[in-house]
Amino acid sequence: MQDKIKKQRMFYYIGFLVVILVLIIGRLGYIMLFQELPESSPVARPDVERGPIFDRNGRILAIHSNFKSVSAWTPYIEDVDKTASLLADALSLDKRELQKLLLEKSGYTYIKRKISDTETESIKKMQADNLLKGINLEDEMGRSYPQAEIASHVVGYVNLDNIGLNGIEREYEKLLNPRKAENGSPKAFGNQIFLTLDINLQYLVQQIAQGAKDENMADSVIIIVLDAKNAETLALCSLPNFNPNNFTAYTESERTNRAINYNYEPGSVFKIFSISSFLDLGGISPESEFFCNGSYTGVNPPINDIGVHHLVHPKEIIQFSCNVGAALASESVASIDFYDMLRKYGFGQTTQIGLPGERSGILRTVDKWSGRSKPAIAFGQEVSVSAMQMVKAATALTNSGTMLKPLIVKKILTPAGDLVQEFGRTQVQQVLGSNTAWEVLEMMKSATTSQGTARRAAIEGIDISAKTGTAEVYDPKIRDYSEEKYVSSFIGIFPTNNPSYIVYVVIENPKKEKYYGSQIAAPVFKEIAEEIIRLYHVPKTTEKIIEHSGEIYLPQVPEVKLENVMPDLIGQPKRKILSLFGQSDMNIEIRGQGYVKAQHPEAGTELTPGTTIILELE
Amino acid sequence: MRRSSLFGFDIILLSSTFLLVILGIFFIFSSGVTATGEIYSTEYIKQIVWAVTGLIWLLFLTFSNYRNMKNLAPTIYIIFIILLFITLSFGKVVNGAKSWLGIGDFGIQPSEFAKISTIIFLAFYLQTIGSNIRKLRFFLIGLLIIMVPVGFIIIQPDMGTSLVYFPVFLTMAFLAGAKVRHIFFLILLTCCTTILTILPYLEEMIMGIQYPVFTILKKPEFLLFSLLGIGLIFAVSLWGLMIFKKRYFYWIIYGSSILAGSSICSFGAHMVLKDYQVMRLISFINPYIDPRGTGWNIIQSITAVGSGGVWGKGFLQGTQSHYQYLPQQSTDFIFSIIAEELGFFGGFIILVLYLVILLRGVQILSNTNDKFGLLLGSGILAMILFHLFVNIGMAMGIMPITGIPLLFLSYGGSSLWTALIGIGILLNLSFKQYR
Repeated sequence: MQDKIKKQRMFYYIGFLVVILVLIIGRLGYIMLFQELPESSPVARPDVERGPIFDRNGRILAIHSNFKSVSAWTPYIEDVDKTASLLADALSLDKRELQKLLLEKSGYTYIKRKISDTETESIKKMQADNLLKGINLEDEMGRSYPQAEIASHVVGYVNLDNIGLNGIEREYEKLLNPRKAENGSPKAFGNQIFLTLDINLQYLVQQIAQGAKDENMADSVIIIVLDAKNAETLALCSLPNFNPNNFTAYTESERTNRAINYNYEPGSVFKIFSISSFLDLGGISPESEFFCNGSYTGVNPPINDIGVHHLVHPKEIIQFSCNVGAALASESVASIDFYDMLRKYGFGQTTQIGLPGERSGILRTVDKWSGRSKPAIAFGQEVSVSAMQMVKAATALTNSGTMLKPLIVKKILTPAGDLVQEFGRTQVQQVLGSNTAWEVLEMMKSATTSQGTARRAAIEGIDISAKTGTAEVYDPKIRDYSEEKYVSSFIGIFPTNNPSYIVYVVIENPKKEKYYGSQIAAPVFKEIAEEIIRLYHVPKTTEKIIEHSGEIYLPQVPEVKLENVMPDLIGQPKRKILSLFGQSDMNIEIRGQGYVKAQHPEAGTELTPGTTIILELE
Repeated sequence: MRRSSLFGFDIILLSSTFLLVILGIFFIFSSGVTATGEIYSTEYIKQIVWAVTGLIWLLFLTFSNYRNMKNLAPTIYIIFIILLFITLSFGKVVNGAKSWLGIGDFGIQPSEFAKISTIIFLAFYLQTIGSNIRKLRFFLIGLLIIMVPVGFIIIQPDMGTSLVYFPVFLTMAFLAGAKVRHIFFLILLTCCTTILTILPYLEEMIMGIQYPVFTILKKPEFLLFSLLGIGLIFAVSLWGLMIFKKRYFYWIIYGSSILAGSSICSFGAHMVLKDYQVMRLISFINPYIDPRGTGWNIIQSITAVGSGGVWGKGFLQGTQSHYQYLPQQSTDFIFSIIAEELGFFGGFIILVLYLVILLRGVQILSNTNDKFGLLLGSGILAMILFHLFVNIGMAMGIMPITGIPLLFLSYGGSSLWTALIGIGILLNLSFKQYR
């Protein structure tokens, strides 16, 4: 009996033993043979020089830079106490924590990453005096954003490990930061990204936006400038903003790109999309008449206007921003048709511009509409949008009814300069008939006439199609629209007969006595439009157009090429010489900014591969 | 059987052991080489010295009569308890634990040897009491035998090493014929304690929200009330058992004592456990919560193991180890280096060698007629298996980081000696069978 139990238990014991070993072997086989390594794990990998980000003209927005980091190799440290106290002083760290770190870690550990130049100097000095055994200074790849706050929301930022966390840095992480080097080389290079932004314009827009934000004590200001013909984003500004070189010092809200992330009720600017829908659906025609007595009473609460507009046509609905007229016009179409049009315009969907954190806004399906929904949406309530959606929808008006996909990246080049991908005009779909689009632009032009709501945006010599908006903000606390919070906005498209630019201004919660879009957003638009006209030489009708044979000759600036002989580069702008990179096997070093002042070697010198060319700019 | 013995030695057991030790020395060497080929550590030379001296221990134990140990068992046990006590008072702190005893650079870890001495004494005890082990009182005395060294080692603090004693005790008690329900009581108590210990942290760290249900577990008031409740149930059931002699009262008492015991233990654990220890447990559940801190070891180790592939990167070619991504490479994570450099093939060979040692050991045990020998050997095998399971499991991310060495392979004199002494005892057992 006792023997039988012993045998039985021995049997269980052996069984248990074998099961455990089989489990271990199974797990080992799984990890080693079948499991894909997680890509984010910090596996030993080559140093990656993260690819640069440029604006459309090659101005640098983000570039790699070298930092120093302090690391310890603990087996070499002789005196932990002394080492810790020296390091703590030099790097302003806590001595006791450092001591603990050095005692607990065996082998390799970081002490402090990406230290300043002064810190580097003091460490170097101590190393020279042989005081810091086992402590190393190592190069570490970092990121630098020379334009700081300019376009920070678009460019984004990276973390300590040079991994993109926001903006283009995050969206194009894999292209900017390839994890593998070619042919096992110890260093890898990321692709170069050119944005559609024009940093000159972006800078001006940002200045103007900051001015508007301060003047109106607004919570935020969003401004988007789009090339109306191909939907390239020329400027995108969201205030408050941040400095990506030091992004941790800013709040989540400051780092949010409000142009794509902030959803709000657009108010009267939305009328251009509702009126164009009604026209296109055939519910109304430009000749349709509506009588505005100041209130549309069929719904609760009634829809009111600031004034009584009497007899209005679609044109006047836009010119005077007549809510009652828009509500009356909405009666001419079926809810589902209206809804379908707005979906075609892209509302309730993200714009796919290719920036992280985009929100789609809310366009409720018809079955969730109340009796008031259709007339309310007609003048921009009960629908929430992002600023980017609004400008995207507006491209349908500027392209004879075909809506375009907004672009933020122009092209991607390999580190050597070969084209990876280029982005051009991309049609989404035909939203409107060509006629309707042009009719609506004409109607919008009337808004900038002396009686129109957008008169403060008028510019002598340029026809501008525009629409203002002042939306009340829904306050969930009182379950009604707030009497104090507004979103003032303005959309402008110009020149009307050759629509080239779309400018959209949104001012959130202005706190001064003026809050109407026509009062505060229109002047902002005007400032921007004037800068655009100046920057891109938009012809004014008041300017005399000189008859010309049609052909002009310009002294062609020869393209700079590197062949066997060193060319004379003195006086060339930096933009030109940047194209030298990647042309040949020469090492090119550029010092400074501006135009070439001195060069080495002299012009005419024979060049052999591997020669270092130094260009000093001023 | 006779064929595989040479001069009475069990040649299979012996050669597997040697192979493991030699492989260990090679990879301890590998762990001390930096990416640039610099040899920075002389650990491998020390390990050779330990291995040779350990061999002397092995031979000594093989040829001495293990039955003599029976008489010496209490003395050995007490000597090592005293040594553990001295370590606590005068020991050297290495890696945060006061576990070393020695002069200058030379030192031993009594906690390693105490495993063997405790196994010997426990075998002696279990053999002496015979079938009395079925009685709860004798079972508890057995438990007390291991709890003394466990207590000392926990104070050092060295959680990992102290854990080894439990499977050793359970195995030996099981084979000595203890009641299965007693053994399960211990297992369930351990599981419940672990769960109750990490639950409040788990929701805090992983989900980021606090559920009052879990946080309350950390409150002494709650403990008091729940203990009162459980105590009441316990008392009523005890009374019921006395009066009605019904079986189910017994099981209610069984269950409620597990609950009460684990609440007390987990409360104690909340007091004793350091934050980093809890973080290790959490990191084991999800290493990516703190990938640069406590999760680092697990991620790096899995990466090392996973990057080995079928045939590995070749000796001295592993990147994870030579770039020093792995901490404690020569001790805790020696298996990761082997797996990275020799691949699945290498890891498999290692495990097969262990399997051979363990199965050979079991074979020796089933042929022995002496109960003391059987218990002694099973305790040693349980120790080897537990070290294997926890250490390799740790390298592969199926066990939390406890920092216990892989016997035979890991760097460290005390653990290598302990392992070789264990094998010496097993050889002695087989030796006796052929004489």
